[in-house]
Amino acid sequence: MKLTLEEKAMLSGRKGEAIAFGMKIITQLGELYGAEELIPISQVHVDGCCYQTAGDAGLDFAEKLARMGAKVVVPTTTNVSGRDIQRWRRFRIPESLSEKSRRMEKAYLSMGVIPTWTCAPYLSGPLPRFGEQIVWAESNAIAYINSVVGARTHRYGDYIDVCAAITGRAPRFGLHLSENRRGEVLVTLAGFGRELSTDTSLYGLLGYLLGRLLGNRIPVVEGVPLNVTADCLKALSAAGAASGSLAMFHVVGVTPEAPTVKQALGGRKPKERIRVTPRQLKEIKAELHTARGDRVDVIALGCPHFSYSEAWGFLQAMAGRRVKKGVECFIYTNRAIWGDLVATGLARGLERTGVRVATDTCILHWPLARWGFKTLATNSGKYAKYAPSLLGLDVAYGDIAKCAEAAVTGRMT
Amino acid sequence: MNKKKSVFPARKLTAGVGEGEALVTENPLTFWGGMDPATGTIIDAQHELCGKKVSGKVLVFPYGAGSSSGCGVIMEMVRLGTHPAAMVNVEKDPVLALGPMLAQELYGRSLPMVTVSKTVFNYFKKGDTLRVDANKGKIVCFRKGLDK
Repeated sequence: MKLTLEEKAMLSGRKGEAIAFGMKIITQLGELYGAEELIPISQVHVDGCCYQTAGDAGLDFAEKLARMGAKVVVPTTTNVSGRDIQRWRRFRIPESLSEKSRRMEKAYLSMGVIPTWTCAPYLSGPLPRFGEQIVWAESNAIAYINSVVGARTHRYGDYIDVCAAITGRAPRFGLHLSENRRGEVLVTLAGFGRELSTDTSLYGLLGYLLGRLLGNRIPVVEGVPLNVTADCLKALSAAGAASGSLAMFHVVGVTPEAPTVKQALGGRKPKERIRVTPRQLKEIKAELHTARGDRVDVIALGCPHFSYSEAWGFLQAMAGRRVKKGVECFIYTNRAIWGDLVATGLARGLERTGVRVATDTCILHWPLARWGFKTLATNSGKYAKYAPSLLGLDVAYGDIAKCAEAAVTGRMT
Repeated sequence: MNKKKSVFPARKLTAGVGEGEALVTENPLTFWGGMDPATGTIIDAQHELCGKKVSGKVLVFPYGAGSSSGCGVIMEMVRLGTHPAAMVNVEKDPVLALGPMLAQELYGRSLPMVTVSKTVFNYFKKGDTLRVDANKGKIVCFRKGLDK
């Protein structure tokens, strides 16, 4: 690999032990990816700071770097922690787990990360601009920032993100490069009426189908209404990255690298054409919706973290009603959005409905089955995929309005 | 009993030398959610090798599947000493290779990982003993043969 003089100095240890460590990993991995040189990057989103996922080895990694004196050299945001950092006791997180999470948080904070603790860093700052070279981990965030914003990150995972943050470099390859960002498969939505504008639950199903059918190939989707919301594209990103390896998609007329089908395909012919009909999405729903009856006992919203507009929509759907006794309704979001909700009074409104809002964390790390819950209602294709295996719960899938009804009635039809 | 010895070329992904009984599958392996690092056992119910212990074996599989957190599972296995002696793949999987790289830095123990051609991959079978030398780029295969 060709390195600049400065990069060579970093690798040699002249700029400190931690930078040399990061550089060694970045260059080794870059060589495996077939990159010939490195590029400077301007922002990082670090995954792997959740103790339940990273384990003791992940904690060893973070604490070793912290001891070496590692510091991030570009603005770096953090993915979810294993706990609601301020309110973990209220959510029955065991002391031992909380302590390991605290050590993990402390190690990363010592490196100078921004404590965002969110899986949806694109909902709050700092945001990269179109075309900016960045290193983001967390699959839903990668798909969203590449596709909806047009900043450029490859599909990165745990640890390499940290190495990029302390060196400010990434291998030059993959989705960093224009030629690898063009669409490969033309996906046409056919036979849909108004429902693509009214039923937001379709986008999680569409994402799930795309991930399943395409693996890591890049789709160009035509037929999505131009007024599709960012929340819908967030749902699509998360579901596609959970069912497959969707890291980039184009929506014609909507996403910035897809003003037209031709431009989205980079002037080439599609390698494959796929038609998606309402029936296919119904089949995906039947697969995700594992609950047999209509009873649900826990509702979880905010995978990825709830946006301000989603919280607004949920409150409107609740229409002053309260969560039914014996039913729990959890909403997961980040502190920036929570701050906005507090400022406008929506937070008070949410609390009055009996909903419990958690920040900094993710429901997938909570032992819901052990707490006695059986059936989870959610609007998230990603939750729906993981809840049966990771949480041991049946799933009822529906949009935010349906989830609000489920919270009030304990049933989802 | 005769032992047939054959030598094959391999490309290094991560450094080291490891030897053990071959555990071979044609299906990709999922590490995060598919492997129990505490016991070194495959727990992916959909996988043919479910229930098999990988510790100390040479794990031969085409490539890794699933979450990028798979590298963390490998680090955890190396930390606990339940890791395989070596891993042989067809497709290079940088995300998985990061596991042994970091484990080497953290725990000073190597887990050599190499790729081989599909033809070489197809040669290996259960019962072989494999000596994987990632540094020299070769695999020595000892196969129990019939007496001539």
